[in-house]
Amino acid sequence: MLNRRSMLTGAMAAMMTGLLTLRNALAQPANAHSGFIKRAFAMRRRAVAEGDQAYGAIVVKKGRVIGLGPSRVLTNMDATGHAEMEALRDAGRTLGTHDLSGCILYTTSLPCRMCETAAYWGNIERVYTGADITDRGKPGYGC
Amino acid sequence: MADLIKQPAVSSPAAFMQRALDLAAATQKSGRGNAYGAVIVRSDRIIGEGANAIYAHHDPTAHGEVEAIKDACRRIGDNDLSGAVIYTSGGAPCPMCATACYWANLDRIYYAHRADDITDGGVPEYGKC
Ligand SMILES: [Zn+2]
Ligand SMILES: [Zn+2]
Repeated sequence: MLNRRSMLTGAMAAMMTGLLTLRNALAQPANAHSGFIKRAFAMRRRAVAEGDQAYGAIVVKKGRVIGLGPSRVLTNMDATGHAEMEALRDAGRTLGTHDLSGCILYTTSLPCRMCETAAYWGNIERVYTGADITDRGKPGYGC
Repeated sequence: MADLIKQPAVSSPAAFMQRALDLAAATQKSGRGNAYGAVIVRSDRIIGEGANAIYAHHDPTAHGEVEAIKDACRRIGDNDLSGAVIYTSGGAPCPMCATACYWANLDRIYYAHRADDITDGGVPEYGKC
């Protein structure tokens, strides 16, 4: 009797946990975004510490950070080394493909036209910018 | 590319564009990328060259123009390519590459499908939406 009751309780607890997980997944809790944008700002701090321009970006796939991008324009002496470009390049290396479908780009500032289009070519799903985590939607071709 | 760049026997717009077209053909043949190539030229010398390498590098930003700019920056040791121009194969550069030319301070963009039919794409601009 006790055994059956504890089994029932266990099943209910498992169901509750399942429901909570589902709710969290659907709601995309704001704290998940804020954690990721904080990582982008950490990249910005790294860029500044290394003597580069004050920009940072990261690429996330299914809740996992797969691309890191501190600005490397000055440190790598690369005119195309904006933070977003570096994060996209790093993500491509991590996944072993140029196709970053299903990935999200978090960046500390509004992407320039080069970076916006790079995110478009990478099939990035969504772009979030700045400390207020503005949803910029799907990246466009040139905008 | 740390190797020395092979300069054309005679420096001319057609010769520079031919090099861009050759790079385009080679990268497609090898499967490293799509058929796009570009060279950066300053004072009648090629100072950087690149080809589309999106498959080889797993890099969505690796268009021919971006690769050529990166190569020139690396060889010169400067992110500022003022005084240089780009010759790129195919049509007008996409917004990513056109804006990369702008950030690199390139003086002018030339593009062509054939070395004897070059289009002057003008001074790189940030561009509008
Ligand atoms: Zn940018
Ligand atoms: Zn392009």
